[in-house]
Amino acid sequence: MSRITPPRLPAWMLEHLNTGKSNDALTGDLVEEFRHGRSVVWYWRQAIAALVIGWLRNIRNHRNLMLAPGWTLMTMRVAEHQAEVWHVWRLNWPWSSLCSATLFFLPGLIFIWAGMALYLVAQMRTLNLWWIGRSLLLSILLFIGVSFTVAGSVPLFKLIGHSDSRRGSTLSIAPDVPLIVRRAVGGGREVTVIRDKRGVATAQSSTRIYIEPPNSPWAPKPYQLDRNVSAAGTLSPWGAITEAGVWAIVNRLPFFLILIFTLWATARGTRAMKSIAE
Amino acid sequence: MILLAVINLGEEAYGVPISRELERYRGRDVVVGSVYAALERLEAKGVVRSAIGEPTPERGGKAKRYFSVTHEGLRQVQETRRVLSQLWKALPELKRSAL
Repeated sequence: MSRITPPRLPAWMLEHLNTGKSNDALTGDLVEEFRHGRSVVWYWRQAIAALVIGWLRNIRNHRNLMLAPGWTLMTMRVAEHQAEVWHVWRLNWPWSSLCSATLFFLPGLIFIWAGMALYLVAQMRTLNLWWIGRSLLLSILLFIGVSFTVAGSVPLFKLIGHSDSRRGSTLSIAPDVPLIVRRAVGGGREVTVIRDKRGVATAQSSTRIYIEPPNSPWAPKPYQLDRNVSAAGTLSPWGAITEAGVWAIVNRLPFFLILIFTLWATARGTRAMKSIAE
Repeated sequence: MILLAVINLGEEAYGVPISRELERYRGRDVVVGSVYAALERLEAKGVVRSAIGEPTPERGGKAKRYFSVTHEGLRQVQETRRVLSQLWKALPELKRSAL
């Protein structure tokens, strides 16, 4: 690497991972400053800061992704009340696994694709089907990958942070009631669940928690937990959307990342084809 | 601050000189990405406008993005200056009354 050539990796990251209309100008500015004697460390720091700022701006510009937890909650509720959907479990392996995996990922992908379709209709004047198809396929792979990564990371964090979760009882809530759980506390003989103004109701027992929603069609079934674990949560889609707890943020992550990437890939491809045509 | 730097630089207001100007007055390193983020927000509010220059080899073939202040931006700067001046003038009176 010579003094006139900036470090390759951050330069590549700026070129390919950043968004925004000033990206070219920003990249040029950093190159100009680097050639005027700025250090490699300075270049790395500027590149990473620019990426973080760009991604945060992207997330702010796509606030509608806050709907993702509400959507997740609704699809989970529908699945719970539609027993026939789960008849796929009765199929022989490997079809049972394939069907259940598809049923798990499809609602999330439908949400992402709907967001992408809305964006295309609202923003794009010229559409390139090849790029759109490519973005759709990429979104499937990324969604599955990111979902597995997030799901795999959560037990790790909990293992480090809370000894109670080692029993697995707290974790068992997460797949059943994503975003609903606002608090899960281990230890003590009595289970205590906190009631809040958004419709969380409780019962106490040392082995079982009954969540009693106020006449809600989204009422979940009672959840049996391991001993000495309590839970509380929101029970409505709106509550899930407005929830800003750790679980909600963790559940939003795959949606955030994939939809932003999909929009970026689609818009970039469409612009590239347009410039070639011109 | 960014607006004042853009006004001060005149026709040479693009990312690098704006960042240097801010560094000079603030006395610490400036993240160029945050300067652009702020400028884009100001542009969305109609306070500044931008124009793309020609790509140059010393910038790796990337064009500069020049910024200039709009009439609305100038009006807001003057308004801010007026308000700040009044506030500063009021400070000694506040101190006296506090004593």
